[in-house]
Amino acid sequence: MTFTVRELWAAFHGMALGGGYLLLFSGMIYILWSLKPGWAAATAAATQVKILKAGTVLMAVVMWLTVFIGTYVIYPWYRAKPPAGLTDLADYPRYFLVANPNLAAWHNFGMEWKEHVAWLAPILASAVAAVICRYGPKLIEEAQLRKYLIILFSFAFVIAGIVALLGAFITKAAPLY
Amino acid sequence: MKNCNASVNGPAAAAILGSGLGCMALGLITTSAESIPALKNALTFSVPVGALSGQTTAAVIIWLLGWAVLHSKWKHTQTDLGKVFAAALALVLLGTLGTLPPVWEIFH
Repeated sequence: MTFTVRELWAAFHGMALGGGYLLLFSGMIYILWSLKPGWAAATAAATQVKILKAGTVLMAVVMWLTVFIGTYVIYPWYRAKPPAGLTDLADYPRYFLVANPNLAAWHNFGMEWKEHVAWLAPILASAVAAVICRYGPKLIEEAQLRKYLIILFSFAFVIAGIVALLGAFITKAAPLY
Repeated sequence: MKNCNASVNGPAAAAILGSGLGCMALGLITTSAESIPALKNALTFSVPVGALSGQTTAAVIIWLLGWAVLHSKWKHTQTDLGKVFAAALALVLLGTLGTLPPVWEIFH
């Protein structure tokens, strides 16, 4: 069993970074939701805030790495133009998909949307992390702000989830070798 | 980051609305570039990546600038967070719509 360099980069982008982000979300959203007055002893709440700060900053960093690697390392391989006259397009995923009417939508809708919308997730995740770092334990008293952060954070998660699903399906339809 | 100025919600409002501006910028730039070939060419900062390189770079710059300006204006201010959030959410949703290929087709 061997992996090509492209497959390893794609796995790191989609599974290690993307998967890591999605896994971290469940823990961070629970801590953010549970930061309510009286829900935890002061010492436990302080620890939760520390974990939340570190976790959300890590998620923002991971999301930025994911979109940068996706855009500047993997996407050029995906959209590379085949030499004129080449009939076997297996090594040129974009052209392979577009040439097949049954698969073209994976590029025309799936990839075209994924490559753009993915960038919303790190922007939103960074804003949430910045607010959490700035306000820290004060978030316990700020129910309204906490609610808004949960909504933005969840939106970033939904976007990341959609992008991950599209990435998996597109890779299945046109693997990157 | 220090917990300074945490007594007012202005810095939080700036971060939240700034993210909305960034999302809206990406949607607007994407739709515009897909509708105007000259703009798409101008946004091709990296040939292997195509116009996506310029679209996302421009959106990130607008996001950071917008956040910085809002932060400098609101850092000592108590804002109406509900209204700010509603505006930010509308911008995020519009920005998301702007990244959808069927929306580009409308403007082709």
